Amino acid sequence: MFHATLDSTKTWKQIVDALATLLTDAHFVISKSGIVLNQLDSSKAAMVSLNLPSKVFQDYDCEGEYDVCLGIDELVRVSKRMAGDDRLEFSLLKTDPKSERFDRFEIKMHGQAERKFSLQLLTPPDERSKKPELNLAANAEMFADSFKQAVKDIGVVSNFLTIKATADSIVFMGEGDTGEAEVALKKGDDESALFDLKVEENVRARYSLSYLSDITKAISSDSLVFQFGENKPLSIEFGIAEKGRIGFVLAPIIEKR
Amino acid sequence: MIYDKPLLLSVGADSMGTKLSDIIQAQKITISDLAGKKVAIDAFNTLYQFLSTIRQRDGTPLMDRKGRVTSHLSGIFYRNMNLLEQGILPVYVFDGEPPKLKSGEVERRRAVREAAFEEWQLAKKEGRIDDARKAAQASSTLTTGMIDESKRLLTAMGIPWIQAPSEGEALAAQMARENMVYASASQDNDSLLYNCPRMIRNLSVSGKRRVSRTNTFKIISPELIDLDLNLRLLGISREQLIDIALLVGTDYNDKVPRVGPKTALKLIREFGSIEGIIESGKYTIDFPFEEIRKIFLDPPNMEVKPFSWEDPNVEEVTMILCSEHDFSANRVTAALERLIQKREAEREGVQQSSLSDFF
Repeated sequence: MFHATLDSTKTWKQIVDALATLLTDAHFVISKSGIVLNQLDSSKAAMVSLNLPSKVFQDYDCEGEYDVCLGIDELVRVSKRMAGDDRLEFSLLKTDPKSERFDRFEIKMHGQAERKFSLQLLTPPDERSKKPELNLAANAEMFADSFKQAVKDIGVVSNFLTIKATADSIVFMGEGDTGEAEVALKKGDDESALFDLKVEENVRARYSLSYLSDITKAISSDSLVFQFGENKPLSIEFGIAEKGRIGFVLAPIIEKR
Repeated sequence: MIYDKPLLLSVGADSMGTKLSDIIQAQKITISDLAGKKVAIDAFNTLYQFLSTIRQRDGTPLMDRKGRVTSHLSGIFYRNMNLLEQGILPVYVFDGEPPKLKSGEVERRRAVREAAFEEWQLAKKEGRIDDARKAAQASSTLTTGMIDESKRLLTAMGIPWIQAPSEGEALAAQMARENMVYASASQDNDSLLYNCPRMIRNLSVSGKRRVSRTNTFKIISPELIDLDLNLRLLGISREQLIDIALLVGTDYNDKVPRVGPKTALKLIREFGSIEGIIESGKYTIDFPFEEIRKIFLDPPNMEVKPFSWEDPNVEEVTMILCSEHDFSANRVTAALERLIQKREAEREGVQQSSLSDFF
């Protein structure tokens, strides 16, 4: 049995948009403590993770644990039908009352009318992905908008973004056939978009801008935390609806083997 | 489901080819083993796989808003994007005129398909979902319109295709022999009879596949079949392998009653050839075996012009898939952009790593 309500359609839309950047179907694990998702994209170069503790929802009631797999295109289409001040209600249903298994995810929108959409559940994958433990040497917190601008700046000249971290600065760099670009952020300056920086050792790594520009479009918070290491993955995390988290992990660009 | 002329030479995906699997040894490989290699793909065989497997649970194929089948386009696009992203270079070989002897088989398959179509409709009406799916798969029909569309999509994706004079497998085998490609990919063992040195099975169907009549899946992985190795293991020549195939039944003749692959192998080892078996008086052969043998031994040769792989034409691909057939534009352009980026990265000597390298 699962039932939850959410007062903000904005939150739900932001979640669906974040998932849609990388996935074609979403595999939620719904349990008593909340809703969790950890999934690689089809190329295995990137991962999206979602953690929505039950507190994110106004009402939350779940007995048991369910693997709920839904098509992203369908989720996006339903989300587009939500009005700004609708109250949302989610539940798992059975089309055949005699069946042991739930086969529908129902989204109800309470507004001027009561509208409901029930989406067919897809067969979940055999295994649940886990969020990896990555030991990353650089850890920074900054304005989300400045991060987005840096990605766009470097995109003017390059397909790749190089990030360099030292004890007191983060530098975004790129080069292409037409020239070079650089965006530097210093720690300790009141004006700086960089709130916090912890660097164990100087590191640099390079990432694909096509992934990054998709990922940054899905960032809906004011600030974000990012971590990376020498030729290691880049992890970007931000909050959603106060208690929730959305994260992306992107594998680096490396020299051809 | 048929929106234009059904093709006369079409075949049913699981019933095609020669049933030699019992005596042929295949080696499991992974897709990444094929990175950087050129592979000739039997186009008809692959399109049939797509039409029969890319379906909803009750057997209904993928369709656009106008009700036109799009399973083949979905397969061509997503499967090839997957191969290209893994660095595999596919070249498609389309069947031309079928050998005259195939007409009996073509008729038989058509009848099977039509019966399956009736059964599908009935099973769907009666709510027998698993029966419906199975019957729907057997009713898969490849039309000339689908073939033309598939060729157009391949061209837009920058993937070369070649029109064979007769059977596609024969030309694919020739290309593999001439080292124009590393191997030929087909589900059909006929490739071996056409003297294809290396054949790959399950290339475009690898991944999960539903086990019939259950709700579970099994993992299908690609397999490589080395012809010379198999001939050495069996201790026979290619000509003798053809004779074995003729005894167990091909697209051109029915099997000899009570002879399976293992019996056929024993007979050929003992008597050397079909002529030897006839002389022994143990079996009578009532099909034109010499003529059928010739289809495999001496297929029409064709000089294959050099071919190359281009970057996909994003506008043309989205026009075919999204404007004409209602595919999701986001998914299609995202996949195309990733491929174009990967190619650019390659030209710069770098590559996108995988997260699995790190955990």
